[in-house]
Amino acid sequence: MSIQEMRRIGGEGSRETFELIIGPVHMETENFSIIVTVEGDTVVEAKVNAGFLHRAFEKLAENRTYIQNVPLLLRVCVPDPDHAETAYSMAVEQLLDIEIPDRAKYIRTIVLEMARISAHLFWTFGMSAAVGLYTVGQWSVADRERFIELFEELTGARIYHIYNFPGGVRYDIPMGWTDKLMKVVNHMEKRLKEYDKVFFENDILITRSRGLAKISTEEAISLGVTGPNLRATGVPYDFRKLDPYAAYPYIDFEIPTGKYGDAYDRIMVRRREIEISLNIIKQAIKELPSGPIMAPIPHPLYYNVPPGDAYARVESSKGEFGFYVVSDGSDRPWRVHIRGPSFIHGVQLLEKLLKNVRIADIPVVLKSLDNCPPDIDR
Amino acid sequence: MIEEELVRKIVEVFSYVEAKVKRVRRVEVKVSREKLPEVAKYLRSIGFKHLSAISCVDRPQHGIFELVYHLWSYENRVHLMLKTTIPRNKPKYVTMINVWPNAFVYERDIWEFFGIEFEGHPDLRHFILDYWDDIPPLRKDFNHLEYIKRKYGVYDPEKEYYLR
Amino acid sequence: MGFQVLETSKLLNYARARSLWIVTFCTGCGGVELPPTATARFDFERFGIISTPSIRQADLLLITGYVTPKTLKRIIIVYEMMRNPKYIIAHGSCPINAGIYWDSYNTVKKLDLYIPVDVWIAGCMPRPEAILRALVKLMRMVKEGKALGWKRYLENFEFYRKNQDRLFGKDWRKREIEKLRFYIHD
Repeated sequence: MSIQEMRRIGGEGSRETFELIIGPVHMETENFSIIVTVEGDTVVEAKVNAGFLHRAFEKLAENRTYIQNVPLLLRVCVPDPDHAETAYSMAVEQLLDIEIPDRAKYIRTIVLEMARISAHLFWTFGMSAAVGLYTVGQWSVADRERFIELFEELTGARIYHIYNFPGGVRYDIPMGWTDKLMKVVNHMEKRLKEYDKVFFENDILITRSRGLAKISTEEAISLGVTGPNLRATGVPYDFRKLDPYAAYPYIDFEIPTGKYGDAYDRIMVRRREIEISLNIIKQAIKELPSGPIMAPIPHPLYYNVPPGDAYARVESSKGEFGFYVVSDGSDRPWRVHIRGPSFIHGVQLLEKLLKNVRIADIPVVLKSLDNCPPDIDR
Repeated sequence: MIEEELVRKIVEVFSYVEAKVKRVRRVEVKVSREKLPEVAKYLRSIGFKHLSAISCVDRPQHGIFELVYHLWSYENRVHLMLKTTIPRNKPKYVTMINVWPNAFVYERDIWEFFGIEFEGHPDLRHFILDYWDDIPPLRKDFNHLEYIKRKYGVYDPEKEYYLR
Repeated sequence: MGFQVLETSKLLNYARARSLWIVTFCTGCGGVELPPTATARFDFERFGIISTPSIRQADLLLITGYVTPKTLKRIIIVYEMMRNPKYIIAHGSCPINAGIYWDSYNTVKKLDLYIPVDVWIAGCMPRPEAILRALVKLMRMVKEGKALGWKRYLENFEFYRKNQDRLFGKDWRKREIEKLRFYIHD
């Protein structure tokens, strides 16, 4: 918060307005900045200044082959890369018109749920820092490490796994890996109760986030809000159920919803999602079929894709993550359009919700939306 | 099949659209640029309330930009791609903010990366690119290697760097 | 005199090496590995390193990944606002040669042309162990008085400035200062 001296821009007496720049040198905004106009302590208008992370993925993807694009495009959302690579793979599978084998579907489900949990645990760290309860942040990052280590054993990498490929998954599950995963899942279930005591049912969190930055269902849908932020308003809209992919149609799970659509509901929807993801992992491990993990693709590295276009979406930890891939029949995509959830949550929704919020609550609103700046800039 | 029913319904109301089922839960509707706003309003009224994204595809060989509105209906569980084309020379189109409010960000994005003007859009400004001084970068005729050579002084735009 | 005079700079270097404070400015993918490095499991606080929101009191700037021109402006402003001596660690392949974004029009290709870097970490994405190793290496360099990036920046300011101007245009400093006039002192 160092370059944050206030700048007077208008008004008279007690109704003076000031301009305040928050970020990018800030713990919570992470690489994007918000220019807020404040009257006293209350935000009158907020404008998002993004673009600090623009890497031009959509241009780069046009010059790389379909396989080369997998390690590139998963970098769109850094805390949750698995959903990006799966969405892209699904779009290419739609173009190639192939169906992945059952085992690959189940492995994808397990990996995606692990990714969701680790993204939510990472978010817990940020959320706890936003309200000043640092203890649970230390715990959740340490618990995330358990999932990251399992990822490392399965895929060979900690953050960018490059695991879900067009046609299936890259490696089969190693011996004894599912037992380790079950251990971690059981540990996490016990751990969540402790989280509740320290953080999710903590009076400080409830007082600071209850009734803050409310949004109604109609507004949320008309703004294109998806994911936990939409479910917090009370509708069970989840693309795992609505537009099913991987093994989700065969798995029985409920969808957590909120009631008021405020910051606390958004937080609690995410917290309950961790629990439900743990259940999904348990079911998927129990029902894991045997068989091949890759569908036959034309060539392992280098193939032409029939002309056409396809849109594939997944329900990432932040909302709808979609890829629109257009092919002209060559070995490289003609156009790849990335639809990230934060492009809505971090820009239009945030600008709307920050109105009439006090300065001290800006990080709480921001974190309760689980905004991912690299995904805004692409 | 909800998709086929939907296609039949749309073609009944608007005889001039081209509609077809692409695959499960994916419907494609092609419409000329003059007629798109009324089709959009109708689609909004029958449940396509969620605008997932607006994609723009540059096709210089045909001299057009293709605009794709990705719509999702939560009631019918169908994804509808509403497609139209606009000429590539001095591209201009009307804004859809009054139909889907979140068209605001996507239209600004397309203005920034493809240079398409949206009439009635209140805030067309550079959002992501900082002091951009070239043609919009996602157009196919933007030579990124030449730009890199000019800005950063590396690579030769004449040489072939990509795997062929 | 009968006693040995303590070399002030040696004492200061020793003290500096044990209290490196980091600016909380994560500039790319690498930021995702900083929370594990900072918290319970890897815990860089045991080396006397903490992250501080105050640029003026910080010694260390982490460039955690690819750098876009828009970020680079902020990095330069932040770096010039930090007090001497100051150090930079660059994470990953991207600051070295833009890594996987080698043909992106919006990432800086060689970071060393614009600001001086003391320690590089290769790889994508650097593991927390690699970050710790780089921090320990920097501590050793500071202790021995070898981390002289800030001196290099002062001595070759014309060189750095020329490269910066070439990328951002001649009057970029004036433009940025106009924007941030109320936020930057001296």
